[in-house]
Amino acid sequence: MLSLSRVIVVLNAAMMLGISAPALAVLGQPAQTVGSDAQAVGSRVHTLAQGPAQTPYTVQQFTTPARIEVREYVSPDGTVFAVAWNGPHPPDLAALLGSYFTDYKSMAGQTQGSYGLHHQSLQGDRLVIQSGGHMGDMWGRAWDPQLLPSGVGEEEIK
Amino acid sequence: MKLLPVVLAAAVLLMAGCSNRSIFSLATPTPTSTQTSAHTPTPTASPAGSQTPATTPTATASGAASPTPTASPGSNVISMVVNGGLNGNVANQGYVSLIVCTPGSTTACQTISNILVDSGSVGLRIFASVLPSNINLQQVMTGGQSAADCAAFADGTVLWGPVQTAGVQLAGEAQVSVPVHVVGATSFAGIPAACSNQGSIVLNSPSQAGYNGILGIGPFPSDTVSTYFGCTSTGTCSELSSIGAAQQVANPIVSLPADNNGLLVQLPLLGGSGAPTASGSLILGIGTQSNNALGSAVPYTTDSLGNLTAVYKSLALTSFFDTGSNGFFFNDSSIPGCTGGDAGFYCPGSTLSLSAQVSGLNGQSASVPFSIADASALFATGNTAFNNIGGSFPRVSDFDWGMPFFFGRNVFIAIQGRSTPAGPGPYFAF
Repeated sequence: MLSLSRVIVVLNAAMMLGISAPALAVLGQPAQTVGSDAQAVGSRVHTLAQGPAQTPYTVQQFTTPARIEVREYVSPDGTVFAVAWNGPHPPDLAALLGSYFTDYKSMAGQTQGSYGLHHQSLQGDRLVIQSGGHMGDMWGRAWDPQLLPSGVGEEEIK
Repeated sequence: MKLLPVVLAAAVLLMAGCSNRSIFSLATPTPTSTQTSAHTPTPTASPAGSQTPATTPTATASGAASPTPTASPGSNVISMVVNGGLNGNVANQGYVSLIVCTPGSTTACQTISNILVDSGSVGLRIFASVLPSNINLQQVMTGGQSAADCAAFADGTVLWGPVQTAGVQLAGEAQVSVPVHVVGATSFAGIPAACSNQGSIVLNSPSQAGYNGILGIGPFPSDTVSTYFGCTSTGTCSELSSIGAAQQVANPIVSLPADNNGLLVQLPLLGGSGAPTASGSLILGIGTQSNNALGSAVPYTTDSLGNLTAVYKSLALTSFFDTGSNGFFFNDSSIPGCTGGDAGFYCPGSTLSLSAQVSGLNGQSASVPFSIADASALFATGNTAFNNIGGSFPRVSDFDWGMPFFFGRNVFIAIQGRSTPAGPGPYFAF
């Protein structure tokens, strides 16, 4: 069992209202430090767990105007190494995945329908992306295996 | 207004030398029979249903004690077949035929076959290309704009197109006028990025999809959860924060004069190696006719999303019953996974007899036995209907009772707010 130091930043959902294109930290790109993010939007910072800080990373969480919860996993060097989401339908994956969105589309080309309508699981060298659920309750996550900090397991991305 | 912080710095980490991609999941069971034409043009208004399905029960390999479903003929019976779909390459998906008409017309009608039955969504969606030009559907308006829908499924597929009122005839029932999702309409506004960005592929044709449409039979009156848009006459579409119930893509069952409180999914018992195809029925109504009585079926009420609880190996999981999923999908690291093109499915060395405890919000609870066999060996048989394939599910907190659950039992799906002899929906009963 890994015991990692985590900080969850909850961005105030109300701050997102009326903004058509919420600022998302894009997979593979640097994110600002948690502290300055929190300061800029006046959001609360929760420390969910503390332990030996072998591989501390932070999770930034916010809700889009479409009621989709987005979580960004930020490595100690400030890079977003994973994203996860859940909500009534998928978020704007082009915004969330950035340059990886092209990879996603080409990886998915030959696998549509493998498990039916409600489940997708794709694995590439620089992108792993999974989604599941039915309309109204959908969920997904994506990460770059090359950016996954040492000691962080994929089961922690959720 | 306070703006959000720019979370990203301008610099982008360039990922050099990462062009190799391996495809993780691809299950392509090859059916023995070849799938041919997309649909059979039958431009009449005669009832499509009423046939008695050939339900040939066989010995089952699972421990599920089940009644032997036998559909009685009737105007409320839609024949349903499980096969490989239009492209012959998908296991455990069920299809029906229905008739689409110009609303109110008895002559401008078309039988549409290969409509995928999906209890994980709500509403009727049909590709525009299977509707002949003599059928004139009526555009649904919202706030002076043309209503459109974006339906994104968790397999990465995205369906886009206008919401239009169609005359829909299910089996021998009366024609009803309901808003349907017309997919891939070339005469309508193109797909906005806010829709196409919700998945990996936008489906515009039956050959891409493997079906001519989707009949969402989830336990709700209409689709309240997809993304609706309003489109101007010049083809500019904007996401709507809400849309009226009368403008939402509807579950056509709720508009029937009778038999409108839900339906019964009835599929035959299968043997442990599956079947080339399986024939069963969607029987409209619950407790409204002699052929849709609840009998000993127990209702398990869902939440407002269609979920209930399943406890598997002491873990309480979010659970749903979904004909649109082709296996039992749940996480169990003790079950060996398949390799190669079947990765994602389970391939145990010998067939496993398992069970999970299903609990509804109404407090009803039952232990449901099921079997997991070697999916690769089953796919290699060329069969397309299996009651014992499963795989891992990305979200470890979920248990997805897919199509294998439905074989060999009567499953009633009651619509939210509609009364039935066992109380109001939303529930699944079996």
